[in-house]
Amino acid sequence: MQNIWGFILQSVSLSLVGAVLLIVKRIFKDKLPPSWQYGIWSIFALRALIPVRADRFVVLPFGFYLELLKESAESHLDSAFTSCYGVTEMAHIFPVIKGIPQSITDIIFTVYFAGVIVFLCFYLFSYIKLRITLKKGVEVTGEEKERIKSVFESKKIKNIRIVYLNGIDSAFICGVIRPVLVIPFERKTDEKVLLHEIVHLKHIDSLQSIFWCILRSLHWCNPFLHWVFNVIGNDMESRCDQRVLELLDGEERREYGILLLNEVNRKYARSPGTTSVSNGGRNISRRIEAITRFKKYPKGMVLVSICMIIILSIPVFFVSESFVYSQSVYYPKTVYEAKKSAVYSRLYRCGSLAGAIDTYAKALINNNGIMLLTVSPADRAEKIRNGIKDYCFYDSGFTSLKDSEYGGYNVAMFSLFNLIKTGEDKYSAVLAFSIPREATEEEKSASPYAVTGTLLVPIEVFKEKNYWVVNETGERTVSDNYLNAMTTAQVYNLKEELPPLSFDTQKGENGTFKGELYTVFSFNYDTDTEDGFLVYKEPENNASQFMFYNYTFDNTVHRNAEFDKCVVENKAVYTYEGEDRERINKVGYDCLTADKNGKFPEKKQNDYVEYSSSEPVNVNETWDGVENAEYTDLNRNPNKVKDGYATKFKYVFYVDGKAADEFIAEVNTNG
Amino acid sequence: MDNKTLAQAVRKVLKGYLFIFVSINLLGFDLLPDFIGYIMILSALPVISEKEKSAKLLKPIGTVLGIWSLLEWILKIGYAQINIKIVLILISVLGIYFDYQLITNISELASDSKIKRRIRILRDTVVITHTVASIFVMFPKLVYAALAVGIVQFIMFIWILIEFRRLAKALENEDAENKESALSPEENENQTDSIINEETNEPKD
Repeated sequence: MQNIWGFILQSVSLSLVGAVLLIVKRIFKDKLPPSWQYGIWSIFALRALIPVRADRFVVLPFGFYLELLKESAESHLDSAFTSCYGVTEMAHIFPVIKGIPQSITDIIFTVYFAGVIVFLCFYLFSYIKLRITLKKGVEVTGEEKERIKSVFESKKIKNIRIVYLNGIDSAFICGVIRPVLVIPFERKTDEKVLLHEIVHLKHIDSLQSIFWCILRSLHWCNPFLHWVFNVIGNDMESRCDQRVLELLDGEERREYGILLLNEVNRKYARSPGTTSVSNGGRNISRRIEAITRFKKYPKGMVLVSICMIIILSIPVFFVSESFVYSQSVYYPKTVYEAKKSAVYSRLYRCGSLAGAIDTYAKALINNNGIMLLTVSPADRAEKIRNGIKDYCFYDSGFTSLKDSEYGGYNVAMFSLFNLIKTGEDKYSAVLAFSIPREATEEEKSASPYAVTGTLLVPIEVFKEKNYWVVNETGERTVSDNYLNAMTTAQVYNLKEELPPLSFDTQKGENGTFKGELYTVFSFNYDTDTEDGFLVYKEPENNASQFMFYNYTFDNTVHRNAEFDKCVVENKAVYTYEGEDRERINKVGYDCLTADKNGKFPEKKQNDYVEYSSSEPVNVNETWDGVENAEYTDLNRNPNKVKDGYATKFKYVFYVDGKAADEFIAEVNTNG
Repeated sequence: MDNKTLAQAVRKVLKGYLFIFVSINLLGFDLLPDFIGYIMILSALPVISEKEKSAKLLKPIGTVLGIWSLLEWILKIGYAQINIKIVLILISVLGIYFDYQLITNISELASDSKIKRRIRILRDTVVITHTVASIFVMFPKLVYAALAVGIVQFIMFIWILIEFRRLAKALENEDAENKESALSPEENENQTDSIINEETNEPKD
């Protein structure tokens, strides 16, 4: 915890959990026994130990509003402890000061930190002082010692040190590893009280009291939580009362209630490492009420008690982020909406590799700063925020294409090439955007429709904390070649621009094979129709028509998208070097993809792509242009590719109908 | 409190649960609304609580669940729903306690230990499956597992209702047997007179 915002987030979250548990306890006050009433605080304890996330709030979107408040406050300050545009995060629940306070929020946090230290020191000091006093204390001897020891030994507790102490009204246990039973000097300690302390010992309540004291210190400035901690202490006592009552019968239970009236320890009330409790009047009456209710609790509730605690703990530990971006978030229209959008963008980021790529590509296409913030590394956030104009516009550089030979048109479609794993949760790839351009005279004579070129953007995608982010890694280049993810021939045209995934040269019995592979990914888009026109903004210069067959581009950001299909493009060049022959009439080629176990499917000999030449292909001639594409449905195909693409291919070359050579190519998945 | 009245109360609870766990939806309208089920169960509670005192504790919880199910039913007609997670969790907790306690109380009415044992085992299974399904539902990838667990829970509940029916029948049979064996003083006198008359009217040798 490094700043005041982290503390507020943690403390408010814990307060909300405490409030809900108090409501639940109230409902089940007379239905479930005190052991459950105390046991339910285990949820509170776990919540207190686990740092809260601003994007995971069950009761209210408190984290979001805190981030909004933080940004409004910190944008005018130059805080050393808080990053204005970063998410409030905590590695742990303990406050840490890293640097010299610069702003008012830094100072407030420093005061809070000092308070924690003071409280912890106070508790530590009081415990040490008590232990020193007990060390010098008078050991209980004689009959009294034997009496007390026999009670403890009947409950299988041996070797406990027993010490008299002046000025206390009731017995308590002090210490965890070597506990000491402290009893008042002035009067005899009743056996029922000893039973009560034995129960404390068996439940290691001294250790629990240390835990609660630490939490009190961490939340010293939250009065509601102080009250909650008092309730917890009282519930601990009630739980002990119930256990004692189970061991007593009839009149003894009544006597126990009377004894309670004397159980007040003002001097060492709620000392850490002890079972000493300050029992105010209200708590005494509550405990006596619980005693009268003893045996009226329904029996056999252990299973349902545990199940109820599990269900109540679900929202504390299993809340999933379910925020859905709407168009109004990506396109805010006021300053306040823009601030909210910026906060959303840093709280709800991209949860998948494909989602990050999708978000980044659409951020560029739409010149949208909010989309870009969602998928950019944290250290770029400030620069992007400063570059946003008109609440959401961020120039991605695509608009400059308007002034180039590709001018006049907006980018509307993209594909992903060569996704290569470069490290743990790290990938490199090339984004390719189809950019419409004017047709050349030659192209116009061939077709009345204009064509497109391709803008190539090299990127790296990696995980930052729990989310995926994207950076551009090199210069953007433009190719005249048209790109369409589903039309393989055009992919081949880009071979000069794209680095191949693998490059294999293998010499076989009959020939030499050289192969190049490219992968193309498509996403799980929600397409409205299979047949349709590309959705894009109308060009200023409306000279040409644009038509794309069968695809509708979905402009909605899918930040948790998954890869849907993988298209592995490959090109093979084969040179026949076999026995001298007069002529070769037909050549053929087949590419088989291995499954996850590395096995190739069986294929019939005549089931291959065949090329017949009008002229005979002579020996030692090379032919190429043998492309093939393997469409792999990542969701259904058992060949679900590892890290996004297939790793093993077998090429079979046929000459005049007979298999001549066979080559295995393995993709280098590490680039 | 005679067993016949108890049996009627058990049957009311059975019918109430049928309303709660069976939904017949027609254009978004549940023809067997849950809140009617809770009303039926609540009306049976006073009778059950005469024998099982802890059943009284269920009245406030049953009332809350009934009001909640009425609210849900009304909202469903308008294709709306309450999606506040914390409220849903609290209702789930109330529901699990309500079912557990009520089924426990009803099992205690059985004098046949086999019926009692079966109902308790089924009760435990229902509670465990409810809890497991609540966890699975939090993870989108486990939604099918949650559905499978929900189906198991439904089957267990139907089985519990079959046991309730057996219990009600057993209570009615016990009641009938008790009535046969316990004759009224008038009936006793009449019977004695008829025996005496028979002896008097016998021809003497």
